[in-house]
Amino acid sequence: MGLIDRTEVPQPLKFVLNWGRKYSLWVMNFGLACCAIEFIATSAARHDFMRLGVIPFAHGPRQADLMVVAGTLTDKMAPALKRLYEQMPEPKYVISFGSCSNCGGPYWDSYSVTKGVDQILPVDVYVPGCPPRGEALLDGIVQLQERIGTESLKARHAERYGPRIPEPIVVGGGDPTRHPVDDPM
Amino acid sequence: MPTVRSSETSPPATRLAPEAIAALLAERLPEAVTATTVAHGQLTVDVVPEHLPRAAALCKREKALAMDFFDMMAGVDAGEDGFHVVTRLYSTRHRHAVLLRALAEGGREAPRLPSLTGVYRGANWHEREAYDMYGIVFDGHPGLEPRILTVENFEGWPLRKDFLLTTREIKPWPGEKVPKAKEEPAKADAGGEPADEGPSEEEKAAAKKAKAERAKQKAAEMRAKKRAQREAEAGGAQGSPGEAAPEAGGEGRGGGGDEPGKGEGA
Repeated sequence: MGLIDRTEVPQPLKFVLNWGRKYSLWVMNFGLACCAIEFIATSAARHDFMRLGVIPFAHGPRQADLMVVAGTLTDKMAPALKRLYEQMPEPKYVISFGSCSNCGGPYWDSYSVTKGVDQILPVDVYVPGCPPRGEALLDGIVQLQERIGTESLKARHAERYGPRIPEPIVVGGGDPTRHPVDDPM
Repeated sequence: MPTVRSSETSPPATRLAPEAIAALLAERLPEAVTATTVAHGQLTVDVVPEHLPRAAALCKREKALAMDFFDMMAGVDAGEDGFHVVTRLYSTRHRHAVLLRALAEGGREAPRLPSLTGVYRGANWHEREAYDMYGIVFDGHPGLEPRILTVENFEGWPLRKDFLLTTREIKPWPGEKVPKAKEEPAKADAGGEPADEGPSEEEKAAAKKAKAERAKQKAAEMRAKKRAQREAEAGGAQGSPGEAAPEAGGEGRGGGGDEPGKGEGA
């Protein structure tokens, strides 16, 4: 983006910039399985995440700020996911929606399922559940917006190719990649 | 009149009984058909693998059968014997079907079968899937590689029974834990009843203690609630002038609203 990636923007201007960014999150729907239905339900009339400034159905990855990976990612699909993520312009955010995209979920022993999208993309928010309810996604979006609101674009640019400096948000807390055998509820 | 003409050009659709289809196939291809079985109204014909395309072609071109639709194809892991390939052919005209079952040659090491793509073009991707999942090679297929269901460089044949799931090697399958847990109490029962009664008494005592504690906690909670209620009531009594204050404010606002109205009137 140029100058604001290299210099720290003064606070009033930063506030305005972040305020604008956090309430116009064009979302790329990466629906892969049943979680996609829950995601669509969240975008529909009852939950309607557009009232939070999340604009669904970006025309493509190049218009999107936020990617919601909802569903079971297979090894066959993983290169396509990576490619579409790389086409998104910075700054970009990823919500991993559902147990499958968090850690493989019920397909933890499958030969074909990728055990977590965080192996491929840096994830900002984990939403656990199988599938999570729409409210959980709304909570994740709100928490992500809070983080964007206080964000420094310079710091964001610096961590562009590394791990996320603030730990990823987990809706409801805990470890989203927790395995039920090792650590039963 | 048109109906009469159509009946002249082709014979009327007649759904054949499974036994009739079996007899027809056995009569026309005695060297190909090894066995026929009918179960739940479904005919299964065991076919010598090298004659599989001939049998399929007969099912397709014989006018009484006219099985023009390649419905589905499935591989079956038959253990030490190797792999079965089951093909379902269906006639959209006569509405009858047949399952052709062939045991792939070459056992588990290198299973091979002649391809049906020469008879049905639709067999192409079905055979590619069977190759992906079981490693069955179809001779005469236009191209089994690259693999369509798995990653291109995938190693192994995932639907074979001897396919190793690496994740399960690291973490045991949780489904196995349930039967073991069920077995253990059964063994304890067989060991002797007095041993069973001992822990049960201890458990009873522990349960009583826990119950008493819970009751105490509940009582404490109730006391706290009542106290809170009493305090709230007292606060309400004190706060009643406070409650009246907003009303007064409302009146004030109402008065404020009246004033401009008066102004307008004037």
